[in-house]
Amino acid sequence: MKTRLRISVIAILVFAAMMFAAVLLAELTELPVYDDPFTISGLALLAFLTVICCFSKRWLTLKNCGFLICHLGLVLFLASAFVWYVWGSMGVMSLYAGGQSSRVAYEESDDGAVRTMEMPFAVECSGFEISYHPYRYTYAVLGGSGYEEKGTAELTESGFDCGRYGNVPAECAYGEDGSLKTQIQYENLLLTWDGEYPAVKQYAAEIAFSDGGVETVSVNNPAVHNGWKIYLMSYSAEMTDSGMATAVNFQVKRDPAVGFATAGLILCPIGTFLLCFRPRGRKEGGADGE
Amino acid sequence: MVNESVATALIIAGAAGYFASAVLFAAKKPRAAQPFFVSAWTVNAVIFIINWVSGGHAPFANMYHVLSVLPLVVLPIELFLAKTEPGLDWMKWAFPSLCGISLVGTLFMDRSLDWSLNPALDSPFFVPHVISYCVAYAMCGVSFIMGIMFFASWEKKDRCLSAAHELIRIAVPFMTLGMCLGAVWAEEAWGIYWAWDAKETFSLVTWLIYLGFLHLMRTKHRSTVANIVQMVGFIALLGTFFGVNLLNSVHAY
Repeated sequence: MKTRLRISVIAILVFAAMMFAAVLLAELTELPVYDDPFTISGLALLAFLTVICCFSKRWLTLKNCGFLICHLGLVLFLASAFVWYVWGSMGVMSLYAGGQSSRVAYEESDDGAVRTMEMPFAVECSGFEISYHPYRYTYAVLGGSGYEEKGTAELTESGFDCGRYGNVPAECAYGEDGSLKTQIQYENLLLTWDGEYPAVKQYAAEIAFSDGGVETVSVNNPAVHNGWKIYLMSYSAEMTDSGMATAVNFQVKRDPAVGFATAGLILCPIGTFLLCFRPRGRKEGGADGE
Repeated sequence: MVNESVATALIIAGAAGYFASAVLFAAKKPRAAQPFFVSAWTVNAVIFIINWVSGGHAPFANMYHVLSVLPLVVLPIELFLAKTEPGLDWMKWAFPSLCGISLVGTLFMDRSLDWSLNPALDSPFFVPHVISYCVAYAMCGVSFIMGIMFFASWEKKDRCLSAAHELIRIAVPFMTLGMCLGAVWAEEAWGIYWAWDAKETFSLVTWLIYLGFLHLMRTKHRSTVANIVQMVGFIALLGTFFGVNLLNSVHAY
């Protein structure tokens, strides 16, 4: 028991040191150090030791539940990673609005060639929308020594809310040609826009499947269809034969081990909480060899 | 809209309250110390609310936000430990000390309140992920202080190590929860649980070191070696929290 515990401590700390070296090596050399034999072997050793821990408890008492659940969760997650590595598939697909495809690019070989695979259905990008954060102006208030900067206010449909200094109607923000003014003077307020365009708030694409069904996907909201999961990754403006168009980039994934991974990610923290927060009626550790 | 000078004044007032509380706890005057701790915490909560109202979203998105949230989780834990672990009363001064250090740290960060939330952070996992890590990091910070005391011999070594052990027993479940929530969130956003991003890998290293410490505490090597391991864990934690912003990471903020 104690020998196994010592081996576990050494394995955990050695693997931590390996990962520390890997992150620095990856940063310095940009080599794919995380799927090299050393890292995989380290993960395999940790998985092996964790599996042994799962079978180390002879009696399933309440005290041992946390121990078993957290180790089992870890094993399930690592097993799901293995299943995904062997049987899972993932690729990218780029579509213009109105475009349709069932072909997914999934690997780029050393000579730059892209391999593709076919999904059992086609995906059409039937719409794409981008929403932005509001324009932000700095406002200054006229005082005894001229204008004094007080804060920032966003341009909303009703205008600018400058707090206790008053509101500025939205129509004051636009010039005669409809463009945004860089400076707005309204009563005793002076609003200034630094010319910085607002950041993207969210973007979403509507996708239609050839075998029926329409879904909206956005960042953090993937669509699930017939065992495939479709993620909205990014977009880019590209020149096409008919002028500029927005290319919408999707990631497509089929993961047969998603249930194992989810179970692992739920069990691991639950087990750790049970293990670490269980009542402490006796002195911990020492030579109890648990 | 609250301007920057008001925010600065609140931060200084909050930090002063935390440090006053720490000094009174260290002087073994808990009755006087606790009101200072609670008052400073209230000022800290006002800073948090201002950040939330000004930003229009939960303020966990940049270093200033996170450093001003970190002390907020400490008082509830201090109260929890006062109930469950009365033997740790002697080291209560470490809690407000950490809060004060964290709040002073915000003075060196970009305190721009008009920060736009990017689409990836618009997720239900965002807030619980950050709060879990805040609880874990706060407890690891206090345990590091215990580690320093262990070597400085201001207290009995066993006492310091036991306190660090109790704190890390709180930290590790929250760290595990934060990491698992992050993995689920990454799967929802990008389709992969783990991308070996620099910050992810650093957080794995930190988690492994603290796991190593907990395992080590179950062997007979419950002394200097274990204390060194938990202190190295905190250095790795600092690497995860601050250092990774210097590396090529999607988590840099």
